[in-house]
Amino acid sequence: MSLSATNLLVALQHADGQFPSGGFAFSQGLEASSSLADRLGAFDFADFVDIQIRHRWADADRVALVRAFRLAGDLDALAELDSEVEASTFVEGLRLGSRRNGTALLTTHGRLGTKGATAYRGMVRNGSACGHLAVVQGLVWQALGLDEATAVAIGGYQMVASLATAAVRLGLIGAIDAQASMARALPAIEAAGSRPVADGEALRSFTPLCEIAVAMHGVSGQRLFSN
Amino acid sequence: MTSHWPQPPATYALVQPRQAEARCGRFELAFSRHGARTHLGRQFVCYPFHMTRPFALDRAIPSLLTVYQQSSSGGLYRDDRLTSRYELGAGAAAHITTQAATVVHDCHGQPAHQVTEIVLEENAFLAVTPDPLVLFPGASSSSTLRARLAPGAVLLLSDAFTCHDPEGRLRSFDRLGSDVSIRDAAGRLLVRDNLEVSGADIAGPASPIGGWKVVSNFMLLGDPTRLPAAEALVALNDMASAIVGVSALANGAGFGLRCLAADAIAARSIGESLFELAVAAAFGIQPVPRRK
Repeated sequence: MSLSATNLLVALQHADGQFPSGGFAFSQGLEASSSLADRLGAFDFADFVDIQIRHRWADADRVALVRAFRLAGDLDALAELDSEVEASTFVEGLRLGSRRNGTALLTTHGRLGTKGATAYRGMVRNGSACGHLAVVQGLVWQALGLDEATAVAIGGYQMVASLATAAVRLGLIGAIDAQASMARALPAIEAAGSRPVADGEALRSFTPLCEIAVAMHGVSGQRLFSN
Repeated sequence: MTSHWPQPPATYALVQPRQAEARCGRFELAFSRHGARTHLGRQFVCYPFHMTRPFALDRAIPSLLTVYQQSSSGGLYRDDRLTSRYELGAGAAAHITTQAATVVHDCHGQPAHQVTEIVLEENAFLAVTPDPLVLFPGASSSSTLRARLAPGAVLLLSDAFTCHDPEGRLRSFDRLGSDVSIRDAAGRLLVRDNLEVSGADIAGPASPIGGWKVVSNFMLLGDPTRLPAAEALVALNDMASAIVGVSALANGAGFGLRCLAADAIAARSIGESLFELAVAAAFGIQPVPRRK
């Protein structure tokens, strides 16, 4: 992956945690997995991140992102892919989180004037599209002129960064440990991102322990994150 | 071999072309409702599958037939190509289960393939609850299940696996793949649950199942007025030796349950309790225990 300075700067802007994507409200099962450790089994942040990269993001979120990216702004086709993501996300907490996160990102890009964002936001509003995060990422990052590999890298980085941020906010790890964990996760993102995605490739994931945590989290009382 | 169904339907095919040495078993049953009872009509069963006869185990639920899908081969072997097909006519009800767990032997890089096709017409009920796969070292299994539900129909699916090294050397299986897709009568995709995992993934320090031993997935799909209340399903999560996550599935398709258990006894208990809840919700009567 070789980026021009312009595209590198665009990528940095959109990967930045300051970018208002709405992801701060979601922990993707991290809060539940850590808070329910007595019931589910010992929790380790680095292992949790590794599982999320290899068993969910690599073959589900990343595949959806790449397929959305290749649709190059075809909104009807994106809505169809969105429906596939909806059907393929087993646990309601993760499904709703992905939709809310995607809609937030779409809203931001609508205000920034990113091509296709406002029109697709309208489709989400009228119920003809779901607005899942990975689909929206593919839509807007393609519209910004980034290349596919960069879009995948941003998606992977943001996923890990949001987990690290959530872990720090929950007091599970300190800021330095969070950065060390992220550094260890980057090669896994790169390895997963280098696997080719076939046209129409099905979405796959296998994170039963995390999914159980999210489902149990949904019926628990106090919590900081939506999932 | 029992054959009253000579040709496979044109609407489906085996996953891949048959290899010269591959075993291509078929287990295909069609049920229909006549009065208060369900009858087994068309059927085609060939090696390695075996079926004795359907049982009417629940005297209080005469419409519910139970069939034990048996195998005379001792498990799944490399490059097996096994297909099952269940068609239930309007109002028919059936329970398909097995007598015991199924061992998947070392497949030497050539996975055993299982394909299941399910078609439920209006108000039909089907529970497909096989005992777990036991993945031996080198085992490789790939399964595909496609189901289509008409309005009013109810479908309970269970799918479970565990690992075992008979020599106690902690060797792991090769790969496990499972792809389940549920569609409505119009062909619209409602739910897809697609996984692939290696034995090394399960055995490693960052295992997606943690320290648990038996993995079970359940789906309880269909007419919401014939499904248990969510609270009853959540109440399954009261065992120390198993954890259960209950979630509403996409598109109002029903409920999905993930279960991780410390042992086969706990996993079986959860599965049996869920079957009882499903039957009670659909028929208003508790089923009798299934003998294994």
